[in-house]
Amino acid sequence: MNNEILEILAEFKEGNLSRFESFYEYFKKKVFYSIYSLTRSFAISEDLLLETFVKFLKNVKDLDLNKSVLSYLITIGRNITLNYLEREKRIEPLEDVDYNHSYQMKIEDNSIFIKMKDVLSSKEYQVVIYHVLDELSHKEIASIMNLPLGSVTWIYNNSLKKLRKELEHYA
Amino acid sequence: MLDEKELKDMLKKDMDNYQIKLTASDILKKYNKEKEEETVKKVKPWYLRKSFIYSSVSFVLAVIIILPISIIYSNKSTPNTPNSNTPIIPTNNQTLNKVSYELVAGANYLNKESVNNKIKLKNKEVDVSEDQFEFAIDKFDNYFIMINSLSTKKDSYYTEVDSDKKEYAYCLQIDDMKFYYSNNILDDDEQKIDGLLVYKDNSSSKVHIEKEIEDDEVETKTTIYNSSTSYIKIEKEIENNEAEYSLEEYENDKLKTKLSFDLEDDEKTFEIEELNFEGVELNYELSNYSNEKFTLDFEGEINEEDVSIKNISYQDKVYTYKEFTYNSKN
Repeated sequence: MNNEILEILAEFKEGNLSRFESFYEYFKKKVFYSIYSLTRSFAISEDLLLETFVKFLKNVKDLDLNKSVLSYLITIGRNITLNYLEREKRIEPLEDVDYNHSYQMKIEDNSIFIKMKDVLSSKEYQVVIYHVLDELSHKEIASIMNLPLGSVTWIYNNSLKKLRKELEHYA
Repeated sequence: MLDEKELKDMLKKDMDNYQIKLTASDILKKYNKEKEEETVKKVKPWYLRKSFIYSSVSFVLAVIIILPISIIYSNKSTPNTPNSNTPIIPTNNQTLNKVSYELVAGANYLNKESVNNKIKLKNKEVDVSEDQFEFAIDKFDNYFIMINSLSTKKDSYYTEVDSDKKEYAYCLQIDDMKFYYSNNILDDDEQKIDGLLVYKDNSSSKVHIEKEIEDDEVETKTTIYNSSTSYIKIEKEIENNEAEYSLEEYENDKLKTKLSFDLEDDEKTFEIEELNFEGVELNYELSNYSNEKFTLDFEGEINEEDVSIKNISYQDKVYTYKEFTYNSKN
């Protein structure tokens, strides 16, 4: 897939977006997870996902093909989301977002997402999503979150430890 | 015991219950619409563009206001412009060199990709899987890069370039960073510098430096700001052949991490102590140090366990250790 992605990106840079759908299908969930880790709202995350890919297309001509496109997309998504949260002044109240109220998805009470929300801090939650779902390395996460590498490793290990304790009887 | 794969499976299973409704076609529609709007904006007649109107008005006002003022003050210089009345820091001197190293160390600590002399330990291969060992080494990598910046010795680490920012009279090129500054000499023994450090990616940090001279020894205190309440402070004291550094990281004006280390020229030895905001201490002791190999001992608390790793050796880009002990605090 990597070679195919590079070919598609080269086409994008030439202004040919005919294979955008394949590109979007390949990356959408990973970018979505990363936005969701900040908003913890499915509906808002979809709106911001739209903005992220539109911004990506606008800037695709300047994209460096030697760098990870996933990190680039996640960074765009992260910046758009943080700006949105700042604008809406929703950073603090996020902890109280009602998961089940306004979304199409019915989340069970024992969902891992609900457990994670209870157990992990916002920063820990982001690191776990970036690493486990987006499969980013600790180094990539450190760069995206502007944290020292050691802190990311520390946060991730602590988060796993907390989750292990909480999820002992989950499986 | 929950492992990464199990966690991943659980998260994916939950996430798969949600179908993202947004389609590629929605994105392309919005993208094309915005592109079209931008094109329409671009073809607006030039005399109707707001920017033209504003800039014309600004230009006329500027001519009316600035011209008489500049005539009146034509014999006076602006405060930040170098001239015979403003003492400048002598070029190529010790102070600027020390400041350069400290700025590089700060940029390294902040994980900025602006520094050329990073010792990258990318190829490390650990032959054990203990989380604690990886954690100790990951932490150490950052410190090592930073210490290396501070302990490297070059006659001149910077080059002077013309400042392209009006607010700052001088500019130094330090690796891929630019440091813009103006200085304010208080007296012979004390000096303050306010500047702006611009990284390779064009992000920037404000910088405040204080220099003090005591017994022919120059000491500097460098503060690099991420925001007005989040910043790092680097201080250096030199006594005989021993240099003592401290780095403090503040978040929301509260001390988050304190890092201190000593460098003895003759013995090539470092001691690093980190105290973080949760009261956790990490201690590293380096010996037989060179860029290519060294020996390291570690003691500290990781994941609520007291961990001691002795005889960690770094050679041929591989870390190995001989003694590993830990005690659970619970």
